[in-house]
Amino acid sequence: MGLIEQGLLIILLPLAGFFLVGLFGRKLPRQGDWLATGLVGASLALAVKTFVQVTLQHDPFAGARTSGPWLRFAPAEALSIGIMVDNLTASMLVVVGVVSFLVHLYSMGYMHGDPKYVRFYTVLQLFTASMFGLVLSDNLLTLYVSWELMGLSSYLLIGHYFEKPSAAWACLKAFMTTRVGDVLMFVGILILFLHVGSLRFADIFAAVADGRLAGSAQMWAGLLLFGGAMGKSAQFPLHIWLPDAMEGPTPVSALIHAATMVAAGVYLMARTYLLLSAETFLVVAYVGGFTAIFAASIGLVMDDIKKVLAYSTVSQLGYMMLGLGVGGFVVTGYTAGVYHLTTHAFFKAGLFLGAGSIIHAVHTQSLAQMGGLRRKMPVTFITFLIATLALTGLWPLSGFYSKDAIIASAIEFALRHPEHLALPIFAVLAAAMTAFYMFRLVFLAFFGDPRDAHAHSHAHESPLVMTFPLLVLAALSLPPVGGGHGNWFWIGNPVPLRGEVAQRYGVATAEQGQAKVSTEHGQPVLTTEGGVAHGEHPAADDPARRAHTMAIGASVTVLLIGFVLAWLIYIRRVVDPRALACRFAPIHRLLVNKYYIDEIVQAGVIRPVMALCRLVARADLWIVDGLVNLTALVTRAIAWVTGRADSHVVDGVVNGVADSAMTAGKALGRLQTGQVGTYLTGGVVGVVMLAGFVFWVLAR
Amino acid sequence: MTILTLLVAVPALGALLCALAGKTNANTVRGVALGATLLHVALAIGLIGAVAGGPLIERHLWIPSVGITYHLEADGLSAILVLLTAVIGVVAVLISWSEIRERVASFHVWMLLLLTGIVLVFLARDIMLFYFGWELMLVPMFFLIGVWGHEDKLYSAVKFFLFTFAGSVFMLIALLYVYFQYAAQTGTYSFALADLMKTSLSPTEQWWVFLGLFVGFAVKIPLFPLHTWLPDAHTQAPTAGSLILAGLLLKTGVYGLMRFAMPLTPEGYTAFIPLMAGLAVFGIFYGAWAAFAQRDFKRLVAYSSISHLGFVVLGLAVGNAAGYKGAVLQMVNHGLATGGLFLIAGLLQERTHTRSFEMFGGLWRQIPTLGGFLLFFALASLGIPGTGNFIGELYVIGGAFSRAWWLGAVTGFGVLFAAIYSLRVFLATMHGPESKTFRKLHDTNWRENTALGILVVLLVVIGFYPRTVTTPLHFAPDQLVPAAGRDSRSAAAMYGSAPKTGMAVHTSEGAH
Repeated sequence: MGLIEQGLLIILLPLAGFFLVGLFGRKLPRQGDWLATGLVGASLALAVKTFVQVTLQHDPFAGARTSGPWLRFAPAEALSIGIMVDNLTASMLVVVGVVSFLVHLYSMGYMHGDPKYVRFYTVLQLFTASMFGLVLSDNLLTLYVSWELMGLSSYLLIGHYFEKPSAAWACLKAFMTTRVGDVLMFVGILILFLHVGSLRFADIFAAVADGRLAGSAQMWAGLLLFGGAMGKSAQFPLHIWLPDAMEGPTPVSALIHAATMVAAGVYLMARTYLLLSAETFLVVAYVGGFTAIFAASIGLVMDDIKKVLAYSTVSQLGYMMLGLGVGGFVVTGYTAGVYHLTTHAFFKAGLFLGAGSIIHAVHTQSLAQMGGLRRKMPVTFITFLIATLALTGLWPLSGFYSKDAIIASAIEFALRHPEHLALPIFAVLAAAMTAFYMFRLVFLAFFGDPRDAHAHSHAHESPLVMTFPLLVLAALSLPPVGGGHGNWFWIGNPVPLRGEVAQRYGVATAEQGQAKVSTEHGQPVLTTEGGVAHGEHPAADDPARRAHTMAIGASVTVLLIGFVLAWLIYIRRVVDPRALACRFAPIHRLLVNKYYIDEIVQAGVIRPVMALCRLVARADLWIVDGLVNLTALVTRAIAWVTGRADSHVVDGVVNGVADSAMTAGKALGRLQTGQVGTYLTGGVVGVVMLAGFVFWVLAR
Repeated sequence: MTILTLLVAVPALGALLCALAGKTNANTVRGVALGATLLHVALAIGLIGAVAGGPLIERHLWIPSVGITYHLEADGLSAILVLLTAVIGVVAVLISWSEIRERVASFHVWMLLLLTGIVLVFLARDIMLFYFGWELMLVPMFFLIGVWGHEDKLYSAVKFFLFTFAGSVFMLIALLYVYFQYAAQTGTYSFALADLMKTSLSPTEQWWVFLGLFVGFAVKIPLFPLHTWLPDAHTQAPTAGSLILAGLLLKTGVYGLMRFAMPLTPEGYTAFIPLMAGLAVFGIFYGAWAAFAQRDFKRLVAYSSISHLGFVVLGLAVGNAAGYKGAVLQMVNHGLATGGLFLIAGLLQERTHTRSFEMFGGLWRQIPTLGGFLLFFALASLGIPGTGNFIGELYVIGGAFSRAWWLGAVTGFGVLFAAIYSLRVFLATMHGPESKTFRKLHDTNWRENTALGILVVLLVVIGFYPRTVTTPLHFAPDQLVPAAGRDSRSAAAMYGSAPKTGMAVHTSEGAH
């Protein structure tokens, strides 16, 4: 079986599950959950096989692609449909497969007894198939199709508890917010088609290489695609849907709204890396960096355990974007961003599933009602702690390497271009906040005394079907699996560096900073035994080397600061958090209300749009339709006058056309009187008169 | 007698049989109607196969002295629309099965006569025959709304009749003008479209003729500001009436533009492109906005039709092959998806006796299958990939983009508002706290599932394999893609090369 057939099968297995479970789930034993899980498991096995086959070739461009025509716009030009497998795809396949499989398994316990069990698994299958389709697409069109179908799955799963008005509203909000991005992306795709004549990535990159796609078209295409990525990956200001999406069941939050779908925007940027222009890279970097710090600051004060994790996800997605953005100028950025995508997927899914385990045990999402759970739920606690340490970036866990790589890239960029100093500052401050809110969460949930005795007394460790996924995900954050030297995930350069990709497609790296890249990419920075950013740069004053040293120093420092602060406040109780909240009341209020973004959107977008719609509807009823009825009235009056004139004055010579108009007018005039027969007669008489007129003219 | 005459005759004969069976029980009438429509589908499928080799023509002299011929002809475009007509006919019979309980026989007689008129419109190539079919559509629809409609049925029926009738007068005058010009130039009288296309008209004449035709067809489409009959007619019509209205009658207006207005007066068409595009884009937004604010399920869907038909007209106005194909795709998709929404509205009304969103809510638990269908059609209506609507919008917006990038970009945002009203329908009916008013509504039965399922399957097939619709458009000789050749500059910019002869070109050589 070749890579292509394998890739196709990876998509088709869960797609078959979508139909099978959807149609026959109710009749199957255990409502078909084993079938869905088994099919995703088979896809996962194939994904791992693909990964090994592709990445063990130690060639950044290993893989395969094939495509054939689908839509024919004109005889000469067709849009193709196709599959590609390369290192980036192979990595994504494993990430999606692992998390999806584990979430399927976990849901057997978490969703047990849910009345909409079948629907849940059906949509989960659709989602998994779409996400596989997304990463296997060799063109923007099928990528967009998968993208939308993922959005649909997300809509349905957020609305799983649709009887709750908040859930019903949340899924609508999620769909509409991402749709705003999708429209931008759609326009971007059309711009590309207009200039390139194809939507295959290879063709697009070739067009960039030979200059057919350049200048403002290239810039706008990149920016508009990023618009789509902002919606999907919840970048400010389109992030508002993601925290609300926590209305969905927790396994869904883990799979879709933490690990995979929300990372699709990052994937899109990574996939289309070569067509982005310098301006786009800067926008990506700044939006990502700002999102990272902005969302992290809200995470500091959230009480709902899932909301803390949701804002953390937004923040980490911002990190990834930051990495990709500075990657336009700094050689390591691209790899760092994609690397963080993979490591984050595992530990954030672990955190969400751990949170689900807690919610399952204590039946509340409020941190205020938890506490002291570490003895009651040891497996959950240990795995949650490992994932937390990975997220906060403790050596030697996976998050340390990926996050450090992003911070190092941002610092290196600022060293080369001091005017962009804000980017590393964003990154470092966000890292400090991450450490604080994550340890706050851990301390509040697992340490201290139980604050709600009732909830605590009923708490119990979750069944194996739920804890097993936690263990696997925690293990994936540990060295040597998750990060560091000898990290198997990175053996064989899974993701080619931008410089290499550029060279491959002959794209000129002319923008600012790229001159450096082209001198650097001769030496692959990421080597078989090397970690990210451990490039063999000889000179000690090389910015990359200095940046790396500074990044390690900065991230260790802020990690310690965040940890110590959380420890002082929530364990030692040196300061009462409530007193702190009162002391800084304005800031606290601002954060608790999420900077009032939702209110601003409500007042600035939703209300005006709804008012506009109502206005149009009223105008249609009263003005446009009113004119019609007014015409009817006027015609009726005229008809009355002419009718009188006709019978009293005129000698009976009838002008056919005028008369038929008059007849129609009379009929129109009686619009509201309801004399159906009269109108019909009038109409028929009109036709007959016109026909007579024709024959009269002919007979002349 | 060829398959063309059969296609016109079968529904008419079905109507006759229904009238004769009227004395027996209602199910016999329904069965006869179903049989006739199924036979019609079989014939229409046969027609698609038959036109693959080239157009089918059937022509007999009718009234030679004035040049009226019985001239039916089918090319790919006609064949697709005839097939759509036949399929919608089957669905209409199925969906009326339990809804129509009064005067069952006459209902089916009118419905089948209506289908006869529609097929005649799609097949006629003689102007008088076309006009006959055009007017034949009016009367049955008038009665379907006026007799079997809902609370405001008379007002709506009369409004529908007067609007479209008034429009058709403009159309007739314009057509007659061409007829007389042709007679004056050649000395022979002919109503045959092929002959009339040879009439040479000055640009000014073309402008006026196109205006007349445009007004007549725009009422039917309907384009802003001639649309106000539509929400009333749609809302008040019985379910099958709304289905046929949305699925077929609106398409006759677009078809008229494609078949008559654009080929007869190519320069008039070119002159009207800005107006057409402007009205179309405005209608896309206007319809979507107005739809969102409606409280009545069917009124919402009716306004959404205005929005969707805006895409169709825009496809014609952008004047390239992509836009043209997109227009045809959207005609079919809109018929299926919006038809589906009207079916759902009808089924809900049958069960709850209301169409008001305020009365619904949280019904998905009670009626999961119906809810699933509604979800599908709502998503189709907002253009989700996987349904034909996505492909159609892709073609239209792509075509608009190649005309002028800003036109495409603006239109792209119309899709955004489609999402708002489509999801509102679903939120207001199926999501949210369960309505206290309605308990134990029964879910769909097999007949309803069949009717809805037909539409779903077709939309998905077009969504993944749009060539089912677009390939017949290439059946030679297709003179209906006028602008693909004329607008070769932008077409070349889009496709990198000039369109080839397969999509050929109605050159205006006959017009000079």
